[in-house]
Amino acid sequence: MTAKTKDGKEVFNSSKIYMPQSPAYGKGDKMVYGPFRKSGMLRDTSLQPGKKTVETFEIKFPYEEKDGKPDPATIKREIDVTIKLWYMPAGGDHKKGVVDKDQYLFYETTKTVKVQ
Amino acid sequence: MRVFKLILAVLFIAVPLTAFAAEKKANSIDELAKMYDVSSCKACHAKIYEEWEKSYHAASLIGSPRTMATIASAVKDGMMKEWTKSGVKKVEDIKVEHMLSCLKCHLPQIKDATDAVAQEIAKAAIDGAAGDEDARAKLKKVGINCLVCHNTKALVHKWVDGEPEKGVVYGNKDGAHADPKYKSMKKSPIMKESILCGQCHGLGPNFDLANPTQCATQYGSYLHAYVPSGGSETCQDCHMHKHKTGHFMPAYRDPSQAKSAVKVDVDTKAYYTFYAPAKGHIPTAVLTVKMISNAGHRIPDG
Repeated sequence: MTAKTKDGKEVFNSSKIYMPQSPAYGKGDKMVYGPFRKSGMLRDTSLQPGKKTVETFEIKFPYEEKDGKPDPATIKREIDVTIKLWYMPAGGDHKKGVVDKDQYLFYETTKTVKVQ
Repeated sequence: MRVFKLILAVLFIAVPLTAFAAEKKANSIDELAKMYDVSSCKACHAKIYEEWEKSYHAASLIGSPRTMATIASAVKDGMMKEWTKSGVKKVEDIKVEHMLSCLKCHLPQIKDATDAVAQEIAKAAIDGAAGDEDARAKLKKVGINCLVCHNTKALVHKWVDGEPEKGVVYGNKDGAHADPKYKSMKKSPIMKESILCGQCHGLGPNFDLANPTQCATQYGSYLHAYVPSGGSETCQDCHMHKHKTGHFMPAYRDPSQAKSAVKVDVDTKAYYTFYAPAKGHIPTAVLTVKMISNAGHRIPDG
């Protein structure tokens, strides 16, 4: 999820990872990659069948401070928030991968959020 | 004494004949490819064949090519390094049982091959992952083709339904089959069932192997998460019929499959939080992202 002001400045960037996480050889507390060494499950944050996964993000509208508080005259009252859901077969950084090779876009939307 | 010599003579002849009558295993990738040649299927099943050719099943040793790199890693990092009791120090030490870690599912027909083929595949995966296009082309010669699902894996409960028969193509009906090598069709009781796919698309660690690997866990997720959540569709329903993708059987690569897999809703709200009065009212946007998975298994899975 990224948020930008109307003049294109990025003011927020966050991501969540959904995947099964396995230890090596069924033991220990370290998540590993590689089917030849994965056995068992440490944690599973995958999107589960028939289940709803809810994520909440709080984004501050940009502002300057005056006397330790937001100066109302400086608040950027409108931001564009883009939400993307990527499928990344081999993991990696979704900002650096090649689309339709390293990552596949499952969902995208941009919402404009305004505060009074 | 004469009787003894006669018995010995009979044994001397019978034992080699018996050995000769046993199934001859493939000694190279080319021989294995020939043993499992499906090119004749295309004449009558052209559309299905063309769908299959685009699938990852057809390139099961290469994949995206993530599979090829992962097999290479299994050999170099697994067998030769971390699996200190595997007996493998170099490619020449590799036996079929080592490569079953990957090939149990990625090339089930390895059961009809010698250790030489296991070594050839291991080497080709290592070389292919390093950029050798000839090695990659070698791996492309074999894969999960028509015969794997429509013969080898068509009967899973052998003590109920018997062993898959040579010369038989298993599908949805019995009858004659217009192929010089596969002359008859028989109905597979599981052809339309998820268990057909589940044989390879996994339950978790492969405990039947000496050194269990864990690649696919989809079928486990299907059984223990999808079905309990009320799901009733089969793998074939979603990956072949719903989006009319047939034997291409795509997953994340197909946009319509991806879109139907996860429903996403985003709610927005903007207000002034007041968590710490000393800091004043903070203008805050709240984004609530709700994702509902409609897939028959966890996402991601393999």
